[in-house]
Amino acid sequence: MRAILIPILFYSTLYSQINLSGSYVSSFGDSQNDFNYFDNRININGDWNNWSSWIEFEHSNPPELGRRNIGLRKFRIDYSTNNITVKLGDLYEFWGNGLVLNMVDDQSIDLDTGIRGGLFSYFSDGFSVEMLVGNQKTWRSTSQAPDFDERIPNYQINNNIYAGKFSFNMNSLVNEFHFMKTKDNHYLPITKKTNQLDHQIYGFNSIFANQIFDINLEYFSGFKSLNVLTGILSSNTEFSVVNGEVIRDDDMIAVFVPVGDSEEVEQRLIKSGFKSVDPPSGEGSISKGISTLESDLQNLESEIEATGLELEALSNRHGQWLVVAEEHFAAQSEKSSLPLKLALSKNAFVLDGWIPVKEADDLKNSLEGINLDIQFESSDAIPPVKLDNPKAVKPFEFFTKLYSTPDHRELDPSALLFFGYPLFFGLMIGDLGYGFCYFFLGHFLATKYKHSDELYQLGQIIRMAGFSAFFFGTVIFAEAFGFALPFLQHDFALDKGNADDVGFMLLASGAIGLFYVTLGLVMGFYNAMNMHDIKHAIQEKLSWIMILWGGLSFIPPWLFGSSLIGSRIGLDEEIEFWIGLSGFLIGLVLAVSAEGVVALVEVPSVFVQVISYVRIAALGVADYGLAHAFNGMAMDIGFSGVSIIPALLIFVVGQLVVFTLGLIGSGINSLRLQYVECFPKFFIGGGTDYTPFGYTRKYTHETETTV
Amino acid sequence: MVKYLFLAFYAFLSISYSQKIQTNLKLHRIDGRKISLNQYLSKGPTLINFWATWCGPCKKEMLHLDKLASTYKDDGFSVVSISIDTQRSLSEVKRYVRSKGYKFDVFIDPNQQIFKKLNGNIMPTNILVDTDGTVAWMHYGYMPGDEKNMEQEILQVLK
Repeated sequence: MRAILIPILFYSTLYSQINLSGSYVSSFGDSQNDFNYFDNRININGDWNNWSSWIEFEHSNPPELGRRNIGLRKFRIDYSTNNITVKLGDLYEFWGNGLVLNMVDDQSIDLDTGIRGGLFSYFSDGFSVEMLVGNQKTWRSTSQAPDFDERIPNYQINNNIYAGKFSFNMNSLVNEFHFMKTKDNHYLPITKKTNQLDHQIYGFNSIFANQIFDINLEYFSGFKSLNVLTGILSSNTEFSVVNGEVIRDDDMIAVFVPVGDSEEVEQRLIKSGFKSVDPPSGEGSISKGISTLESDLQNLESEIEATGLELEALSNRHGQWLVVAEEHFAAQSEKSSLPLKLALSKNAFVLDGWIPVKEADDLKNSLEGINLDIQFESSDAIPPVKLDNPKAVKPFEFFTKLYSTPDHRELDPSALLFFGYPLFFGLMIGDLGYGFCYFFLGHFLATKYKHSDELYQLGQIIRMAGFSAFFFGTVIFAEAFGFALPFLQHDFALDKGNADDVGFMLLASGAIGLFYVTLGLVMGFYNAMNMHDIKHAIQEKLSWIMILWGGLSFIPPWLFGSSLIGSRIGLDEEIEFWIGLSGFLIGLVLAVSAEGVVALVEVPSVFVQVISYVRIAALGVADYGLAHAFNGMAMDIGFSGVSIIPALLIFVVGQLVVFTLGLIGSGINSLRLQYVECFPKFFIGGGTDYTPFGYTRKYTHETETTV
Repeated sequence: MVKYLFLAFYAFLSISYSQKIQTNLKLHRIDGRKISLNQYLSKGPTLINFWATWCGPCKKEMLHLDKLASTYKDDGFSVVSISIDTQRSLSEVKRYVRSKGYKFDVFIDPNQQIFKKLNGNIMPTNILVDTDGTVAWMHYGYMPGDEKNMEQEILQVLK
């Protein structure tokens, strides 16, 4: 034994090829009634690839119960692969839920029913076969035999055992067939003879196991003596019932209780935070229902995936062709349906439509030589409107149309947007760094999404707005990302953190507002003349210009004691007051004559609209304040020695917040100052978009071929 | 005897050098099937937990084992819970497991062969086994808070 063990242990230590582990249990008792014991057991387990071994040494002198034993007590060698197991030595098997074979070694009661022999088993997913041969020696205490001592057994049963087992699985069923034959050698102490007894056991056992909630839906209700409470209870909350059963799965709970206890249990559940959920109605197994649904879901997901791939493949293969074909056939269709739109006779047709006046001659010249009679006529019908702006202004037609298409007699406000939107945005942001970022965001949109008219125009607008912010950030505010740039500072640079400069910015914003509202009214005057007459223009628009300017001339000195306009243009205060008051009153009379007494109510609104422009400065200061705060936090943390990482994190997140808020806040407010404060002064809209005759091809072109 | 004790002592020394268990151990699942430990180890690290219905700390610990099994399931981690209750207590094991609805698989080892083979002595015994059968961590008993240490060990193996 020693010759085998020492090399094994040595090599296992060196190479770890053989894994050895062990345990040691010792118990000692010293009693006054001489029930003394000293038990020592050492178990050593060894593994080497598919081989394993088990050795148990015992040094019990005396043991707590049983016979004195010193030396090797148990041993076994196993060979085990995924499918085959062979065991030689002391076996402890457990068959048929312990009813056929149940070999235990329980030293606390001195019961050892182990077999010394061999076992072969074949195991697969569907079935397994086991065969066992061995000898069992069981020691018992009996008063019928000599030397009776209830602590030390004096009687041995010696069995030779042959057994086999075949088991196979059927879904939730595990079925086992057993066969066992024993030849017992029973020693009868009274006759001092040994009797041989043969036993044979044939057995079959079947174990059914299924999902925890695998009960039929109909079993949740309809009982006379049983109530089922189903719902949600946090899995951290312990809950049990004395008379009934609790089944839980995550936060779901089902409690089966007698009807009499139901109310009390429900109250306890509610106190524990239970939320009742009605059990699903219907019939049949829940798990089967879930399996069916899961299977359906899986099939649908697979179908979606397959369809998506198919679509992608089709798109790659035919997408381009389909777009081109669609455009071509749409053009062909429009061309084919043309006769339906014409007044058609056997030999001639009549076609009427709108063309811009300045293009009339070009049309006439281009059709010369064709046998056509062209007549130009004016009409009372409202013609469609085709916006005609320089290339730089074109993108802002998007904002104009978003509000409304202008009437053909109205001024197109796109130019006003072109001028005002970048100006307001630039002044609000007023930061070189953010302006730079907005410029590139706009540039990205304008170049990446050229195929989308809306995104392309939006990109161009943001690009201009970004440039404006960059310009004002460099020239006026000398700052980048909320940091002041000393090398850009000059005498007229404005500091958003300085109260005097902020005061000036607020006043300047108000002046811009005054200019814009006045400009809107002047444009309104022009439109009113075009659409009506001079009288309407004076009553509806000039009146409000007089109210606005007259009011601003006389109200501040009268209300606040200082002049707002006169002192800045060198006008005598008294003259300014009387001119202002006269203008205000005349304007008011004119407005009332046009709009009625409602005009009196609307007077404050024209001043409010001017004041509304003060938001240009306010938003600029707010954005700066936010950026400054984030920068300050980041710098404080960064320089306080805590760590550069949180400082950088705060800086990056903060800048992203300011960037996003700036884009949204300043972007919307720049538009709002036009749409809400300025446009209503002159712009009514309601025009119809001009749709050119024919089909505008985007992906194809038409080539005439003469054969 | 002294020589045998010496050999045993030497065997214990070797534990520190090589701690691996056989990966193809056959385990009796509570539903009567025999499952190879390989089935779990092929997916990822596995925590083998020995418990019994008469063991209070084991039951407290099982609540945490269930959470850990659910949390790290997607990483391939499994919990193999083996009850060493005797054959007479098997119905109680099934009843207990059914009422708790644990997600991990529960096995039985009524003659404590697996328990002995893996050197279990005290209840509960937890053995964290890596995919190649290496014993990454072994712990006896349970005190509230042990589950945090257990989670750290699991994370360590999952890295």
